[in-house]
Order: sequence, then structure tokens, then C-alpha cells
Amino acid sequence: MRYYARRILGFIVTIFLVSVFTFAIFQILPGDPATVILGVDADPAQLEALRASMGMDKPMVERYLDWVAGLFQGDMGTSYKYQQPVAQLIQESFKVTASLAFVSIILTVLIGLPVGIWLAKNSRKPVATPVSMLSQISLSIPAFCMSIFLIYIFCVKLQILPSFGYTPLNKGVGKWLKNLILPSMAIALGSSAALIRYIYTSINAQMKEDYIKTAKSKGVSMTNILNKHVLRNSLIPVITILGMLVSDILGGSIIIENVFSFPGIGKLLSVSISSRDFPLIQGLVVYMAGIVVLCNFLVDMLYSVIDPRIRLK
Amino acid sequence: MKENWKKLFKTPNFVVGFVMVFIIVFLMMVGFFYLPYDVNAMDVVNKLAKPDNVHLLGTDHLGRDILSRIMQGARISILIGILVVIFGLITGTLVGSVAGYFGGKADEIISKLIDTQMAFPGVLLALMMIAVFGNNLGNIILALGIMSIPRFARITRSGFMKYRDAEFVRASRVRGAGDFYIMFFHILPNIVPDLIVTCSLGFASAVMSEAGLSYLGLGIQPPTPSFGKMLSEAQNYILQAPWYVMIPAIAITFLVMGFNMMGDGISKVMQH
Amino acid sequence: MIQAEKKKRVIDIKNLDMKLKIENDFYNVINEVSLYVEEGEMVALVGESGCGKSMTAKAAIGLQPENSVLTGRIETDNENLLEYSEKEWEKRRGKETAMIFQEPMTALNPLIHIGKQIAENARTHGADKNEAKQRALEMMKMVGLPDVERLYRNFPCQLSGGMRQRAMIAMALINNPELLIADEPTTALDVTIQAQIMELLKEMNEKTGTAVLLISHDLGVVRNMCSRLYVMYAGHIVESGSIDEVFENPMHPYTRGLILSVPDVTKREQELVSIPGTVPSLAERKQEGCPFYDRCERRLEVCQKKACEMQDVNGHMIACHLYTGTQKEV
Repeated sequence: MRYYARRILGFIVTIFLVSVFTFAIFQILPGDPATVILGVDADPAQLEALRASMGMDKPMVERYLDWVAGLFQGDMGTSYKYQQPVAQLIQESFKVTASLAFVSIILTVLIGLPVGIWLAKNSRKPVATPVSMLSQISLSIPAFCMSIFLIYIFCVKLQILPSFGYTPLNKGVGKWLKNLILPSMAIALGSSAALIRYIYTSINAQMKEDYIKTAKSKGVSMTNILNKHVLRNSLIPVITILGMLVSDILGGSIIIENVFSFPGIGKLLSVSISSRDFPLIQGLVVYMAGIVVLCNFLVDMLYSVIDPRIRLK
Repeated sequence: MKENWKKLFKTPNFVVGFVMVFIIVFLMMVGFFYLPYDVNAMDVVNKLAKPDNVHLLGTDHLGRDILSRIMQGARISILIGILVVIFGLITGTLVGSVAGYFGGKADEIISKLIDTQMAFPGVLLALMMIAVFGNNLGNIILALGIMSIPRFARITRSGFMKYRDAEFVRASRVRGAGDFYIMFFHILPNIVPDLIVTCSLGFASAVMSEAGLSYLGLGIQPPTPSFGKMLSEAQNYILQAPWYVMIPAIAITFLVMGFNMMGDGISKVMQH
Repeated sequence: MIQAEKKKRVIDIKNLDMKLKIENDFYNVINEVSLYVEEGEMVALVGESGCGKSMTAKAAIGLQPENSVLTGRIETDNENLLEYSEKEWEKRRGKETAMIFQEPMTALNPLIHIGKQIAENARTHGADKNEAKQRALEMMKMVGLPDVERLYRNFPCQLSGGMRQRAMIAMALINNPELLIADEPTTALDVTIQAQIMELLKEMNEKTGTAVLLISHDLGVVRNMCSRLYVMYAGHIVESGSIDEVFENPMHPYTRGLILSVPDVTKREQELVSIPGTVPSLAERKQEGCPFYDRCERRLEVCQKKACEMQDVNGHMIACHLYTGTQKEV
């Protein structure tokens, strides 16, 4: 029980710190936001009115509390550029990013899990060397360079996949997937390599545990030791990697969405920064950080449910 | 020491990484004394020229010599990499050593702050800071430097936790050595190898983030050439001139992968 | 006295040598070790830690480290186990020869139900699911675990150290093996629990007839348990014989030292003696002379040059020049 209490408390504290930080950094913004919106030669009375409507005349703590209260009600302010509620803009583009993240995670697991296990089982065979080298290479190539290489192979040379654009899911799964496959691949190749490395080390660490000796002393064959004893022990810590994966994929999507012209959160973010659309930037930052913290928290909870050593304490 | 260098150059990861980094650094060094062309000299008649004897790596969409731009563009990547690593190394080591050595409240607070920072995925934190403070060189270095703190702080923290109750530390404490002395003269030398690896990986990550920022148009502003900007400009011409987009992509990959592999190699040698 | 029938040896180790290969150098871990266990008996193998006891035990069940080279013979049923393939070993392990370990805390898989891990041993050797479960439950009762139906579905983290070691014993004995190798089974446990587990081992030995090779560094523990004793030092067997004889008349200076270092509750104000020095590490071991030479209080000139062969002196076997007659002490 103490485990849960600690995790929940930690989650709340982190969320709090993230919100304070995000709020605070936009307070030290050089210049006056009202002037930014209306321009340098705006009417002073208009400026004053806008400041009041933005709550700029209130003390900082009060403004923070207003902002947080707004967040809880789904009110993140209004975008300067689009003149639309920030929450609505985020909601629309999130569908795109969620699709990208979903396919990327699926691909990561589909590639990383079997290859990682295979590599750990066959690490002494000569065939393992090229596989582990390949995964090392894809781990170190930046995702946006990987995108370029993939575009070159699949769009320029083979001409079988589109190099940019996004089709919503309701236009058909095939079309949706066709646009998603390259950007997801670009992300998944790197993150599955990370997963492979993690699984490999995890399995090797488990093989040194005492309970392996016990299983051997019962005459359990190596294959059964791996399948029945080692795998579940080494895959539990891999759950934590899933949390990091969400963070990696969200972070990666900022640039990848720009490479593939995806109208997702990452694209929205870079547009909002170029146009100095501060409410939108602030909303996007707090939204993305919130997702990362929430995912890490959920992973912790999942972990505790699966591992009896934590669950039964 | 000499022994270790020998071992390093027998480690495949390190050698491959070293060669990749060396190629880029060598090009940059030559660029300080000699550039084939002025990096901003346009030659519209010759735009998107294929690599040949005149332009070894071809020309870009404005007819500028790509090799020259790569030679000069490397400066920004390497400069930012070095400064970010220095910043992260100093701050991260300081923060991590306090957390690891003193533990308790200090550790809790610092760990929480690091957790908070880790909540901002990828270059998000840097983007936010650049949005607020503007994208000049100093701000970019500061933003990427802050992003690199957790990496250094974590490794230092765990190192200090491991050694703070070690026999030699206790002995030194009994002799009346102060905390500061123990931290920096007794414990720190023990984690230098870990820090070297972290510097190498941190360098890779800084170069990658910088390239990402300038790809988004939020890094160092033109006309100063940078790999990321070259990549984003070239992407429009991927059909007509694939080599144009490949060259900066490969340059970034060489630096990032090179430093990653060197880091891996060093840590492999250290484990034995 | 004439024995009516010669008892079967469930394991008969003859002149076993083990070398470990570490970075292109070979180190002797076990030298010319010979020992046997007859069916149904309890035999102790004692010595300080680092003497090669555990390595001998591991070799006896085919779990020696991968970087080791074994020579000599390990016999049972007229077969040399050193010639076994991994497949043959898998058939033997857990069935004819079983083993329990020092650390009951880590020796069980933390993510699998206790009962299932016990039943696994029966499953591996041919029992079907239900039969394995039934036998596991029976064994759990037999080793004194309470509320076995519920315990069957518990995870190791829910059991105390003593209970886990009971579970380990149940697991090891489920196929009614000829030989159980117990590698310091109580070292990691509380003192009160230690006695209970030893009691249980003795009881199981009597009930099931499984022979036990008990490995221990604690002479006090083995005295009441075993019928015979082997004393091991730095990879060599230095003395062996029946428990009573060795305890009443220890001959090798190492055995004497070991016995003197056991506190005797019947003597008040007894001075506790310890053997000076420590067991030499693998790299420090000399190739010639008596392995105990450096720490021996009664060493002879000859001991430095030549190790003594095992010989029969007054009914038990001993490897020491002191008892060969004509030598002078240094």
C-alpha cells in the first residue's frame, strides 16, 4: 500500500512542478504579451483592455491558479494565430500524433521483442553479430536522418510509399496506414533497437540469478528455463521501457511530423513557436509533459500489478 | 593509460565511431584554412549540380558548393556539442554529487527536479526556452545544456552513492577531511571513466538536438550554414538531387553515431 | 565383522580434478578428490569457505562452471557421469540426484507460485499435471509446511526463509532421489531455524532413504547428523572417516584446528582457538607440497616439498606426513 501512496504522491508533485515551471517560464517572457498580439503601435486603451481580459493585472499566484483551474476545465486560452481555443486545436492534432504514436509503439514491440529475445538466446552464434550491429546502428541514427534515408529508399527509389501527408483513419485503414508507415518506421527502428538492447541485458542479468541454478538442478532443459523462468522475469522490467518509449515517441514526433508534414502536435508546436503564439505553445508544452508524466505513472501502476513482490508487500 | 588506448583501438565500436567523427572533424579543420568555395557564393546556372571534379559533393538549390557548406556547417555542430557538454558536465556533476553524497532531503529535491525535467520529451524543453528567450547561440547552448543535466547528474549521483560509504572515504573522514575535499578529491576521480562515456553520449545527443532545432528553422539562423538547416532545405529537392539531401543527413549521422559508438566502446573497455 | 551385503554407492567420486580457465591461465580448484556416499547414509563434506566444497558438489550434479575442465571419474550405476551429455544430465538431475542451495531467498523464481515450482520437478521427469500437483502437495505436507493448498498458490516473497528452504527440500525430494546434495542449506538462515531445517533433513533421510551429502563449514552442525565425514582444504581431501572417530581422534592439523574452533557448550571458559591465516586464493596456491603448509603449526621439512598421499591410519584416512613415522618437525 505504501508503494501506491508514494507513487500517487510523486505523480501529483511532478505534475505540480511541471505546471509551475511551464507557467513561470512564460511569465519571464521579454516584452508585453498584449503588445505582441496587437503590435507595437496599438492603441493604449485597447492594450489595457486586452491586458485586463488576459488577467495580466492580477498578482502572479492568482493568475497561476486561474490557469490551472482553466486546465482542469479544458480551457487553455485562445491561440493568437488561429483565433481558436487552444484545447480544440490540440484535440484535433492529437488524433494525428496518437495515430503515429500507436503505430510506432506497435512496430517497436513487434520488432524489438522477438529480436531481443532471439538475440539473447543466440548471442553466441555467429549470426548474432550482424543483428546486434544492425540494431546498434539503428539506435544511433537520429530519427529525422532515418526518415530521410527511408524516404529516399521507399519514395524515391522504390516509389511505393508517399513521402508526406496524412490521411485520417475514417478514410480507410489502408490509406491511413500507408501514410503512417514511414514516419512510424523512422521512430520505431531507433526505439526498437533500444528495446532490443534492454531485453538482451535484462535476460543476461536474469541468467545469472540463483533460481536458474535451482531450475537446472531439477533437470529443466535450457529451452524451458528460458521460456518458463527467464522470460517473465526479464520482461517485467521492460514495462518501464514502455513509459520511456512514449516520451521518446512524443519527443521524436515533434521533428518527424515536420519531416513528413503531419498535421499533428509536433507540427502545431513548431508553427506556434515560429509565430510566437504563446498561449498555444504553453498549452502544447503542458499537454505533452502531462502525457509523459501520466504514462510513467500508469507504467508504475502496471508494474506493481504484475510483479507480486510489489503487489504483496 | 597507454594500455587503455591500445585496448580502445582494438574495440570495433570505438574504431568505427572514431573514424566517423574523424572524417567530420578533419573536414572542419581543413575548412579553417581552406574552403573550396565561399559558402554563400551562389551560382544559379550551376544549381543542383551532381558531384563532379568542380564541386566534389555537388551544389545546392542556389548553386552553393555543398562540400564547403559541410566543412563550415560542422563548426556549429561541434561548437554547440562541446559547449553543451561542458555546461552539462559542470552543472550535472555538481548537482548529482550533492544529491548522491548527502542523500536525504537534498537528494529528494534534486531527484524530483530531474524527474520534472524528464517530463519534457525530446527537444520540447529547448523549444520552449527558445520560444521565450529567442534563438541566438547562447540561448540554444543554455537550452540544450539544461537538457543534458539529467544525464550527467544521474551517473554522478549513483557514483557518489556507491562510494560515499566506501572504506577509503571513511578513512579519510576519520582523518578529518572535509566533505568538499572528500567529494572532489576522493570520490570524483573514481567516476571520471563513467563521466567520459557520458560526455561522449551527451555530445551525440547535443549534436542531434541542434540539428533537429535547425531543421525546424529554430536553430542558428542563416546565412551561417548548419547541417539541420541544409537538410530541411534539401528535402524539397529529394527527387531531383538525392545526393543533396543525403550529404547533410550522412554528416549528422556520422557525428551522432560516431560519438555514440565511441561512448559504447569506451564503456566496453572499462567494464573489463 | 563381515558385511552381509555390500551397499550401493549412490555416488563415487574418484580422483576428481577441476581446473578453472581464467584469462588463458588454468587454476586448480579441486585436486585428486575421492569421496563416496552409500545409499541411505548422510555424509558431511566440511571445510572453510573457498575450499572447493561447493565446486565438488556442483561437479557431482553436472553444474560446474562453463570455464572448468574436469578429469577423473564420478561413478554411479557403473557409469562415469563425466561422460554424460547435457541431455543425459537433464534426465538425471532432479530425479536420481537432487540439490538444495544456500540462499533460499533467491533460489526460487520470484514470479512463479511455490507449488508450481515444486511440481515442476515432477513434471520435468514425466508426471502429468494432476499427479505432479498431488505429489507436490504431499511433499509440502511432509516437509512440515502448513496450509499447503493455500501455500501452493503463494509466491516466494510471501514465505519466510525457513519456509522457503522447506519448499526447496520438498522440491528436491519429490522424485525420491537416491542422493540429495545440500550445499550449506542453513547458512543463510536464523540460528533457531537452522536447527529445524537440519532436523528436517535428518528426518527426511530416515523416512525416504535418500542419501545426503551435506556440505557445511560448521562442524558442530554435522556432528549429530552424519555418519561419515570428509574434511576438505584448498581443493584437497585431507581427512576422512566416521564422524565419531574423527571427532574423538582428529589427526590432521587442519581438522584439529576446525574442531577446536567449534565452541563446546559443555566446557565453561573454554578458550576458542582459530586457525591462523586464511584459505589461499586460487592464484596463491602452490603446485607442490602440502596445501596446508603455510598455516600448519606442526609442519615438517618434507611437507614443503611433497604433499602426503591419503593413507589409512587407525581406521580413518588421512593425508599428513606426521603419521608416516620418521619425519622431524621444523
